[in-house]
Amino acid sequence: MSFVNYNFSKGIFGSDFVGLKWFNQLFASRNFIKLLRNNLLLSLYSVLFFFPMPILLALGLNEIKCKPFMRAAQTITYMPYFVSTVVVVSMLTLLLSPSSGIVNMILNALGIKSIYFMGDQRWFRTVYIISEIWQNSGWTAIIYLSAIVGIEMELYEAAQIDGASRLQRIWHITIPCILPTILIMLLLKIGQFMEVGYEKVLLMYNPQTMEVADIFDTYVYRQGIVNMNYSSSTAVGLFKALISFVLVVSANTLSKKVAQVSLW
Amino acid sequence: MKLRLINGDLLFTFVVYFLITMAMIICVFPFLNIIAVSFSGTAAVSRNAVTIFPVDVTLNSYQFVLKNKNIWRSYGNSIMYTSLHVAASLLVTSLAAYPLSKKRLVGRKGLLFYVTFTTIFHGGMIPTYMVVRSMGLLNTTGAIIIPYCFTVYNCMLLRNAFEGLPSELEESAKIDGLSDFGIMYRIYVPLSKPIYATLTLMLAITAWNSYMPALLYLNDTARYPLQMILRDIVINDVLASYREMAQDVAALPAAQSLKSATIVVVMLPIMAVYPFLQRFFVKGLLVGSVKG
Repeated sequence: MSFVNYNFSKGIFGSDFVGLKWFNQLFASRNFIKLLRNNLLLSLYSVLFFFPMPILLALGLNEIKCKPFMRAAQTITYMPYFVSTVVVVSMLTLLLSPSSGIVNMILNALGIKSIYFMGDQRWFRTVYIISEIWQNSGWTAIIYLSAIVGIEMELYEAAQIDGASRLQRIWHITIPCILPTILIMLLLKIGQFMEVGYEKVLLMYNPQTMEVADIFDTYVYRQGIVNMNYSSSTAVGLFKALISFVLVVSANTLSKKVAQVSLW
Repeated sequence: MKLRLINGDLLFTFVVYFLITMAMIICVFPFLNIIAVSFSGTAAVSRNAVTIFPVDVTLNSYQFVLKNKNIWRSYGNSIMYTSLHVAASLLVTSLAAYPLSKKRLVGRKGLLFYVTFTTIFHGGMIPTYMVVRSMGLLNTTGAIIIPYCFTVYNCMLLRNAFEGLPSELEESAKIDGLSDFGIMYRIYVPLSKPIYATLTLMLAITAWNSYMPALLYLNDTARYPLQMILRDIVINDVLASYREMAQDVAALPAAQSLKSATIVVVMLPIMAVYPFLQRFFVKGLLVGSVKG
């Protein structure tokens, strides 16, 4: 479909063949650089800022010896995961509203002027990443916690006898023991580097933040479904799918080499 | 020396508890604020006096939300889509997972490759849309259910569960004269109850929370699920359905409260079952990750 000038009544094979026209158009347009940049930056920030959070949370939860408190902490930290994207973005619009949102109320009380978080290009990525951290850290921490639980207690006892402090025990025992899990999660994340939560971006962006918020998937949605440019949007989608494919395959090859673990 | 060590550990414990408590507060705070605003009086909300406790408690916003016909209708739609999604997914996934778990299936390797390949490379949004459109499913319940009723991840989860059951079960059932369908339905499915419970919950949550299928394939507001109505009211700021209901605009609660109350109503079913079913979800996540 991305190689023809698609016309719904003529079908794929009845439409005129245009070769690589849509791809050339994509690469030549200013949009392409913008989409690629936005897509890559959101993923990069997600790896840099989101990725370590569940690990820290799991390490912290594991150090809590009071069982009821730990259970309560777990229940509460996974809760946001079960809330829908629409609810999260709805809550963001209310909480971050410049006139009546609680966040700006707190900022005002501290003597800072209201910030229009949802309508400001400089804030879009920050808000996106923070809401990701808020929603998914607790849930992802479960994977690390289950890896930590598998570590043998003898290691800790030996370290304790040798006089290692709790921080040293984390640094020299817990982290090395869950390193394979961390590596696998990192590789999975890199394999999905092109996959940004477009359902959330689609709800979050608006004309003011479009410049930094628009990513491949949201562009495909607008071009294809809203403006009905089926062929050119399929070409964009295909291009993205190709990059993703290469990334997944290389991440998997890498994980086979490094950790002897493969996705399939 | 010994004293310093103990002090260091105490300090460490204190810091850990402090940080985890902070994390808990950050997780709960937005919910509390939304709930507080939804129960607060108009004057208090416009004064920005509400933090995590409601001020001038009133049920006014909820009266508006519960009288809103769009909300009731979409609640019905969401319940219907969710139950159909769960039923269709369980059926299709089981029917695919069972044969794939059998070593004697002809062409099993090829089929498995075919199934998993779709997870790493797929046509994308527009071709899928074209398929749905050309099948005449646009604006029907089918469009919400059929394209989404099979996910590779769930299929592999179920396949692994089936593979874990001893093959002697199948042999003895064969001798007793059960057909392949009978074996699957009477032996394998009942023995995999825990995984079915987990799958059902995960499918239900996904279906309840999704808005993308409706955004793509429905254009009739009367068919919208709850999430789409919420999106219109809060994110797109369309309060028309509430304005129509108020005799005069002055009687309308603060927009902030109305929106908050709508959010609470949408979250309610999940928040209500969440504490009881939490352990199933965790099990589901861990079952999946063992494979990875």
